[in-house]
Order: sequence, then structure tokens, then C-alpha cells
Amino acid sequence: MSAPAYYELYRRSTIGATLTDALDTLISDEKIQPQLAMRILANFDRIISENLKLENNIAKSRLTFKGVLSTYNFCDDVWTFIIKNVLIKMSDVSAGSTEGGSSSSNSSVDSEITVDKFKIVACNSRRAGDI
Amino acid sequence: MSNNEASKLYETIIEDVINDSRQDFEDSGIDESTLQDLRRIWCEKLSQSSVAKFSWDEEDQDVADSSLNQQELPSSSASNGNNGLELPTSQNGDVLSYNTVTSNSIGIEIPEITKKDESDDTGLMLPKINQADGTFEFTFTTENGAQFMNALQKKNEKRKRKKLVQADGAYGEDDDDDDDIFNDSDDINSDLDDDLESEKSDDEDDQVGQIMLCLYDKVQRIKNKWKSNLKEGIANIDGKDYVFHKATGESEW
Repeated sequence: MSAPAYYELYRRSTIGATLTDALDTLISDEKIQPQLAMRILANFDRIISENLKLENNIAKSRLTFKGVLSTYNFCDDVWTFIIKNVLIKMSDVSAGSTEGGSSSSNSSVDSEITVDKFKIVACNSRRAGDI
Repeated sequence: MSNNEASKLYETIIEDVINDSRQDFEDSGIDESTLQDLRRIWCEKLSQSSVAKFSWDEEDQDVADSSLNQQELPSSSASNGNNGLELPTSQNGDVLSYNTVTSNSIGIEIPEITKKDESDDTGLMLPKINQADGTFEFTFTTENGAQFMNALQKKNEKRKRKKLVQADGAYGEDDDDDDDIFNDSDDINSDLDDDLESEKSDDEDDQVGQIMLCLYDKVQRIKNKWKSNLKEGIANIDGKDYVFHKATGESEW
């Protein structure tokens, strides 16, 4: 597979952006070459994708949201939604000991947040599985 | 809303990325300390983002303190740099001592003036040295040498400060002129850049606000009702990061 085997979208997350910042700092200090930074970011793409999978038992929470779809966009196999007046519910399964996460257990911690605007960027899960 | 998972995930990711990148660093001939620098800067920036609480936050304060010390060190090194600047002045002082010899023969205290000039020269070295070569041929006769010296010192300091400012200003003006030229030439590009920046600002607004990065299993639409099944995502909500394995959403367009 000549194209990068893992999505780069998580670089936009906080941990990805901070890594990019840190690498930029090292590059501007001339401690590393940009080439090396690109390889580190590729490592990051792979590692965060793998760690987000259920079998790694880190990300087990479930999230639901409900709102008014303001904008939808589907381009290059990427969905982008902008949803307004969103009610977001999180079920932190990790707080309970229930395995599987198919349904939120009684011991899980549920919480709700309402936000005015919520943007979702989603890549196709199947390509990630094709690696 | 608890986001312990995000903290745990991030810490795991940092460990894995650092460990997996060690070989890449070695291949590039970069030593381990730089890798640890990367880890330290990364953790600092994550802590600054305050999207979650991290186990290293207490350690990180120590690291931050050490970084502060490191920040202080360069300042001290800057003072060392000043010392380095003073060293050449001392060399000039040698030259001045030669001048003093001559001045002693003449009975003039000019070399002291030049000394003061040199002490002022710590900021700009070379041009004043050149000036010293050219201009220090004055001869004065005065009884109140100390007062005369003080007056000259102050005047010289003022003049040199003015000259310094002027010199900096002149360079700055030149730079500004260049900038203006560049700006003129970049006007077209700047328009384009404005467009890009506006788009970026939109994205940044979204990032500052609430954004979710994830994968989708299925996106369905029935009339104006959209249902989406998402998974393996990271969401930033109200300045906090959350990770989830699955997410489902309903929204009406």
C-alpha cells in the first residue's frame, strides 16, 4: 500500500497538534530534520489508530449525540458534519467494570453536555481495516 | 464527564510514540536526549492545553522549573556573551593603553574617553571601533579632567545611544522599506492568503470549539433525518478531550 496506511486525521486532535508543535520546536532549533518529524508523525498515526481500537481496552466509552444538522459534506470518503444545538451524552464504561460496551452498564458514569456547535470529521472505518 | 480514558490514552500514545521513534532517531543520527526533549516538550504542551489531567503534571512542574532554569541559563549565557563583548573591549583597552602612553606624553586624558566609549561599545562593537580608528585624534587640555570626563561620558553615552537608536532605526527603516516592497509584491498573494486564513480561522474556531475526529461505520439518511454510527474517536468538548469506542448520532437537517 503506497498511500499511508493510517489516517492522518488524528493529527488534528490535541495530542496530535501538541506533538506537531513539539516537533516544530525541535526543527526550528535545528535539533532534528523535517524528514524525521514526518516519520514520527507517521508513527503517531499508526499508534493512535491502534490504541483507539477496542481490543486495546483503553477507549471503551460510548458517546451519543442529538442535534440539528447544519452542514453535511462527503468528499474523498470523508464525512464532515456541523451540528448545532447538540446534546452529547457520554457513558464512561471504564468507570464500571462491564466489558464489551455494547450497552452502558449501571455502574457506568453518564454525563451530558449541550454545545451550540459541534463539528465531526469522520473517515471510512473500512479502509482502516484494510491495512 | 470523566475523561480519564483520554488521559490514559494520551499517556499510552506518548510512551509508544517515543519508544517506537527511538529507532528512527538512531537512524537519523539523533541522540537520545533529543528524543527526551521531544517527550518533554510534548508533555508540556499537552499540559498547557489542559484538555485532561496527566500523571506527569506534578513531574512536569519540575520539568517546567528546570526548563525555567534553562531559560535563565541562556540569559546568563547572554550576560556571558556580554562578557565576551567586554573581552574585545579589553583588547581595545590595550590599544587604549597605548593611546594613554601617547596621551600621557601629550598630557591628555582622551584614552579614558575612549574607554568609556568602549564601555558603551558593548552593544555595537565593530562600527565604533572603526570610528575610534578614525576619530580619536582629538587633543584636549583641561584642569578638571574628571568633570570633563563625566560630561563627555554622558554626552557620548547620549550620542551613542542616539546613534544606536538611529542606527537601529535606519536599519529598521531599510527593513521596513524592504518589507513594504515585499508587501507590495505580496499584495496579490496576501489576498489569497487572506482567503486561506479566513478558512483556517473557521477551522480553528471549530477546533477551539467542539470537534470530533473519528471513523464512520455507517451514515444513513431518511428524508431529513440523519443517523451515523461512528467509532474510535477523539472529541474535544468544552476544552476537554474525550475518547470513545463507539458513537451514535441523530440529527435533523
